Amino acid sequence: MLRKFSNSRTLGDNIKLGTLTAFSAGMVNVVSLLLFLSFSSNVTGYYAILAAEIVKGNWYQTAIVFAWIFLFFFGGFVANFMVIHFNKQNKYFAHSLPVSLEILCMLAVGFYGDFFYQETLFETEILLALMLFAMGLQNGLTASISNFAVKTTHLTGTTTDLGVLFSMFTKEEFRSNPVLKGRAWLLGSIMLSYVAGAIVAGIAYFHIGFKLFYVISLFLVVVIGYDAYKIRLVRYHWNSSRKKYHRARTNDKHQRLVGAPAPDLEEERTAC
Amino acid sequence: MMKRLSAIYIGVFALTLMGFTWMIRSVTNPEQLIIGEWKETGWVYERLNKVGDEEKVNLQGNRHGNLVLHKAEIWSFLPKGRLQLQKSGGRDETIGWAIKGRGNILEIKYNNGHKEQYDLSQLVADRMVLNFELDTQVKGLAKLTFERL
Repeated sequence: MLRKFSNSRTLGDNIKLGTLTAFSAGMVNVVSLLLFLSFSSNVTGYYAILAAEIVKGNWYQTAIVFAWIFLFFFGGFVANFMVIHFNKQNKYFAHSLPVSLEILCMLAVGFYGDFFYQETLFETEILLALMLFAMGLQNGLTASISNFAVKTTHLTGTTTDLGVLFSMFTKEEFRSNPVLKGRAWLLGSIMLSYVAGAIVAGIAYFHIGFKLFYVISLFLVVVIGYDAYKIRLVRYHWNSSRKKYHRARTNDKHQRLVGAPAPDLEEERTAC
Repeated sequence: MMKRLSAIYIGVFALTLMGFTWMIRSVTNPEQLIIGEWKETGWVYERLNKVGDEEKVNLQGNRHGNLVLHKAEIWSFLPKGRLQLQKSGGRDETIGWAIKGRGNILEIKYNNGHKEQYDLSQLVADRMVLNFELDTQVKGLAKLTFERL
């Protein structure tokens, strides 16, 4: 999911990354709406709200909305900054660092909400800011490593693209195109996963409240852990096949040094 | 080149942060502005499904079990999220309040756990306007207007 970059990614890699991150984004968005009465995984609406607050002259709200939009932007900036600057040292590390930061944000929100939240406006705004930054990180990372194919925190573009794709499928030439079919599968799975995450969060919130953020973190740990497991598996296979190869070479050498050919050479020498 | 670029980036981010801090500090936080006594001066249904629905809405509003109609009350917003409602019959009730969202939603929590959310459409020194979405069947917005005492 996270190891491969840009065009080296398969459709399967993108679907796995897309569904898991979209599920967590759906959960984050619904839980923020239920807890803080504001969305946290999309900023399109906030641009309209920003304009409306400026027109009304509500400068406090203007500043807050501006800060939230900026934090979403900054999340995207930080994620891609990490990807492009640490990619050469270790691709997996560079790609998993933004997800790790996102997990930290989610854990911070969950922990603070669970033990200290007094429902003051300042706390609400800070917690929402952390969630918007985390969603910016997630969207920035998925877009960056998938060559802008996977965006999971909002569904405006996904819905538009699906509409376009389904209209294309009215023609046989596009219907049989495997790239377009793959794209439709990817977008469809992102959309369904986002909605599923939102429904699960909506139900779970009434039972576990702020603890839901630990569940979201767990999903993100799966995103990181899946690749760590894969890397270990690849390393294990690589090491075992290298060992096998070395063992075979050593046996071969040993046979050559002390094995069968020696008496023949002896015979040849005596014959001469 | 790299140093210059870093300076530009850091400068832009620092300016953004400073601008935000200046904006936040120069205006009053709605949580502080709301503290005090407010007298309810108006209670109207602002939006209806169709003309002539006023009667239906009033009937449904009165019948609705969870809906608490606040009319001609004095609302005293106290620090630490306490709200004292002085009803017209002279009965007092202390409940909880919190401002959520970007400072645009007033949440009122009754002692039985029931919550109401109002859109804080206007909050200035002497006037407060709340909009309350009744429910999905009625689809009307009740507008409550307050003046500071």
